[in-house]
Amino acid sequence: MAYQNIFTRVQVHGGPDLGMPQKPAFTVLGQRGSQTFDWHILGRFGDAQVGPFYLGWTGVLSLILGIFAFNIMGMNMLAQVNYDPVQFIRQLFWLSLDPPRPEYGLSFPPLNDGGWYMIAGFCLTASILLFWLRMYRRAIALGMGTHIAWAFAAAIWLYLVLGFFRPLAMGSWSEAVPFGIFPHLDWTTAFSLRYGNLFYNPFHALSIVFLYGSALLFAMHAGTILAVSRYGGEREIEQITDRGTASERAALFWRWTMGFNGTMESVHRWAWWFAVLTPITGGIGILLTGTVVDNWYLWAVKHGVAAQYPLVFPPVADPALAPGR
Amino acid sequence: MCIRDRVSNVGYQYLHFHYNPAHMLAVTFFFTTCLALALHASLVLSATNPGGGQTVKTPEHENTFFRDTIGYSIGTLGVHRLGLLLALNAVFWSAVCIVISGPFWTRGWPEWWNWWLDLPFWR
Amino acid sequence: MKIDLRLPILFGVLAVLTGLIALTFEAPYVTMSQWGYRGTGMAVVYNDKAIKASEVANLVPAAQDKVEKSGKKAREVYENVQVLGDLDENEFNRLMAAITEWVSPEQGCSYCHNEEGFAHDKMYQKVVARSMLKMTQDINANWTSHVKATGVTCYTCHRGNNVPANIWFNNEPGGSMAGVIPPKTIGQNTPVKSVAYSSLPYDYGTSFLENDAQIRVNSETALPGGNQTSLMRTEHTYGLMMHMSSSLGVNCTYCHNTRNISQRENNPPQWANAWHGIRMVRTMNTGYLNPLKPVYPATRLGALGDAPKLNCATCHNGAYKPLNGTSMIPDYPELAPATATKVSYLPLKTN
Repeated sequence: MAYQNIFTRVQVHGGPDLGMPQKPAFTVLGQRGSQTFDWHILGRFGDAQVGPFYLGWTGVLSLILGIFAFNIMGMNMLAQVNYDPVQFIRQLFWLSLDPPRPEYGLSFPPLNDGGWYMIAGFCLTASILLFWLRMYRRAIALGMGTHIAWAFAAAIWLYLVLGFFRPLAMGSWSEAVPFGIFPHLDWTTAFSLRYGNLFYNPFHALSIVFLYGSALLFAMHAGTILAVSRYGGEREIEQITDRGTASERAALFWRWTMGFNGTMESVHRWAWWFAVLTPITGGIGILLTGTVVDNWYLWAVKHGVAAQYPLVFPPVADPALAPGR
Repeated sequence: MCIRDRVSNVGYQYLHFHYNPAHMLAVTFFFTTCLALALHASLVLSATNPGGGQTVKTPEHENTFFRDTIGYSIGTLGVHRLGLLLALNAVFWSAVCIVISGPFWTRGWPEWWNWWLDLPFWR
Repeated sequence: MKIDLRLPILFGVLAVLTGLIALTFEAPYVTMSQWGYRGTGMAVVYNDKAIKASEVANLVPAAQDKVEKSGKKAREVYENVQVLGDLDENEFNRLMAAITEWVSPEQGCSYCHNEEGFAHDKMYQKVVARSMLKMTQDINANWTSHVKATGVTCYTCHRGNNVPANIWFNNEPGGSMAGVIPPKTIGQNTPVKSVAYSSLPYDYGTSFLENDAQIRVNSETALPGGNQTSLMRTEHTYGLMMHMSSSLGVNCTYCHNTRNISQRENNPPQWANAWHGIRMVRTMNTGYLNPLKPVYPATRLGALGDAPKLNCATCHNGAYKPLNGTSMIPDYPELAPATATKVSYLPLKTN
């Protein structure tokens, strides 16, 4: 079989690439490091070089707050198994740091009854927002567009809806998502059960469309680039500004197979919007649930988009309505 | 509408489909594909559309951005290998997760994890 | 010529891993049958080997030999016969022998009766058994909405054990987690059988099978209309539902079409049957089992000092109908009289 360009056969190791020159910094925080190392196995798939790393005050703060939040979650989980390290590993997927109970509303609860959750959530949010700032500033510093920061903002929108905006609108921190592997999945199912089946939420459906579309697009785009990599197709910037045979072959492939095509630049716009609209529409769908719509199935019936099935079972009367239970 | 009802009911046939390990893998790959696509598309667009009358940037800028922010840049070829790998895994494990539900597992999916919980050294 | 072994080794390792993972699944002997309208995905899914195992596990012990009536009532022959006094003496003894087989096959009669005499109530087991006899008759006479004509006997729950295999206590995860987690913690996030090994709340029993907290969580209208049910409350209901599913060995679509899980009109009839089952469990727990608390020794009580209680699994033991629907009443009609004292449900005063 011919070489498919999935794994690199021959790696060339030169000196470390220390990156584009940056402005001189006042503090050590503002400097890029100079440590790099080459990881050969990484080089078989992507770039072998790891590093250098740029600290920056946003990065350092983000890291500290993030580790702090992570540790709070971990310590609370450990407490749930009586600090038994073996049971901690064994039950890890089931453990979680849970939000406060509903009776506390929007007030700050006792530490052991949701207070730690609030602190961890706050630190995690601050960490994420600081990291956003980091992405934004590094792009400006390198003279690049801020597309990454705005894509990140879409994801942060969803995160904030789930953990902040919607609980605020519902008047209760208890609506927020627990920090735990299986427990956050229980939250997801409970959410759908409570609000009449989220499959009938049109924004949920849209979000799924964009999620599946993103997977489809990346498979298509990545496959295309790898297919024309023999013509230097992965050098996308050069192909955008100076179209070569790689772009032309790629475009023709899709024009012939499905009737239309993008360009080397426009495919990235398609990709950007699909990927970014996934969390945006998802966040809208979550925010509308419980605040504007209380039962999505009944909403769908009301708007005439829920199919009706013939009766299969004999009619069942609601026992709760029968007199004298 | 029927397909959504079918998806819902097939899921509840196993009490809590989110615990299906292949489903967990597939969902992780789907979300990671979405993340990676957003990052890759943004990176290319940010280099070619720097805004404000600036010159178009180079792949060296792309590499520098990710090495600065997260310490590693997978490179122009690598990102496409990664994207293909993520997207194909998402679909593959999705197929696996539904094929095993029924033919290779009939109970609730949370119960599958008992092999882990019941390992002899920590039961 | 050197052979590059790296790829074969990689494939070998992957094959071994796949084999190990495959062991965690079931072999593909499955019976799947449509349960609701075509295309909705409502289906019953059974593993054929599990079905066979269930048939074996739910065999009913052979009935005691029939006896001829002696003509005298039990209360004329024996002292302190409070529940079964009207039974013929020989039938009474026959039932006692059956109960011994069902509840205390190893200890025999001395599990409930002590040396001073069979009439004495000194042993707590006898006091409990008397209450249980009343409960059994109550269920069979007054709860046909759930048990129909099949009815229950002591064997339905006890299955040859002094204590039924599936009972529960307040705020205890039970099962393998007993003792690992102290009872007064958050009440969820640990994998126990009572919630089918999810991380859902495991103390749904206190709310729904002892108290009469509202199980339904959905709104009746598309737009908000005052339903304040929280997600946490929904998870409690979900935990109860997981319990019901695993107790009966069925899945959610056995009773529900999850497209609209709160619907009533188009539901399988099992849904209404389960409704009555929940009420029956509540009534039995508060009317018979909780009042027995002063009778038990401390070793029989829960960590919070509460009496043992029953739930769906106590009778069903993993089968869609207890004993796969076999009725023992034809052999022991005295346990299903036409009328019996009906205990009503009294809501608990505390929350």
